[in-house]
Amino acid sequence: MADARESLCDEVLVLGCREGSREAFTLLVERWQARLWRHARRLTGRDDAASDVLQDAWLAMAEGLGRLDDPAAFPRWAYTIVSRRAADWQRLRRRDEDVAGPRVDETELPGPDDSAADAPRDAVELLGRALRRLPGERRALLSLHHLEGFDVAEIAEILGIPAGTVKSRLHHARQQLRDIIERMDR
Amino acid sequence: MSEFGDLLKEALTGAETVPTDRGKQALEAAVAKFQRRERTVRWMAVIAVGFMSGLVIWAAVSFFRAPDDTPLRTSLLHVVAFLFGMSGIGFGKLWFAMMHDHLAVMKELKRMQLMLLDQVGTRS
Repeated sequence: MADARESLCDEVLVLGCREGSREAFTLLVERWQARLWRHARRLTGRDDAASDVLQDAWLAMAEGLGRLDDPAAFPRWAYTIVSRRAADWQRLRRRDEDVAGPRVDETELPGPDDSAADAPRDAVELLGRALRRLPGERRALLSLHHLEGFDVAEIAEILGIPAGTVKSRLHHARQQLRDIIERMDR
Repeated sequence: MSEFGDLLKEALTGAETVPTDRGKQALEAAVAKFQRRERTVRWMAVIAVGFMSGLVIWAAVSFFRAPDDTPLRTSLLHVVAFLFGMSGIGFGKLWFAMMHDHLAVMKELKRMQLMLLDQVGTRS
């Protein structure tokens, strides 16, 4: 019920934005900033890149929000824009790397000290540590499915990949997570 | 959702920490762009209405001030321009009113849904 309430609040805000309300837009940005930033962070692997990608995405959203017919589609639309901006950033980065050479992959998160002597307090913390070791794109997939509640077709639209690819990547991501947890447990 | 899914959901929340300073900048830039866009759309609407109104006034004044020996074509041009301007203003107002009503009705429906949800939540 809390999710339904949050969705309805977002829809009211989107409608307010379409009426031109600055306050509605400000509230919408504040509500979605953290979630979209985390998604950008997972895809780009860097804090500064995530902030840049998100800023570009918000500017695109400010431009296009007036044309969004279905306010309920805002989450999917917002994630799609962020994913596309992140993909653009990755393309530029690959082009730079072709010239200047590869950089270190930063998609794994620095976390608190995960040493064996420091045992996780509960299953959630164990999962959290395992998630930090997962590549960013797989973390993004798991987040879109389990945290945001998007189905396979919606994730395919957001990331611009076929639905079959989403299914297999989700399966591999969960499998990889289980392997990491098993290794940590030993 | 399965137990693993619930645990995963909890673990995914807050896995990354959002830097606050860049967040504020992004918010301000986005709000500024949003306001600029709204202002541009509003000004375009004002200019369009102004142009149509000017056209209507010019057509009417020209039609009635034209001398008696004015060619028929010229008179027809004034009439057509007048009708075009009036239609433009009319359709513009209609479009704006429809948009506004549609958004107002949708917002009201969503608010009622929220109220119902809150009431159901309070009772349970």
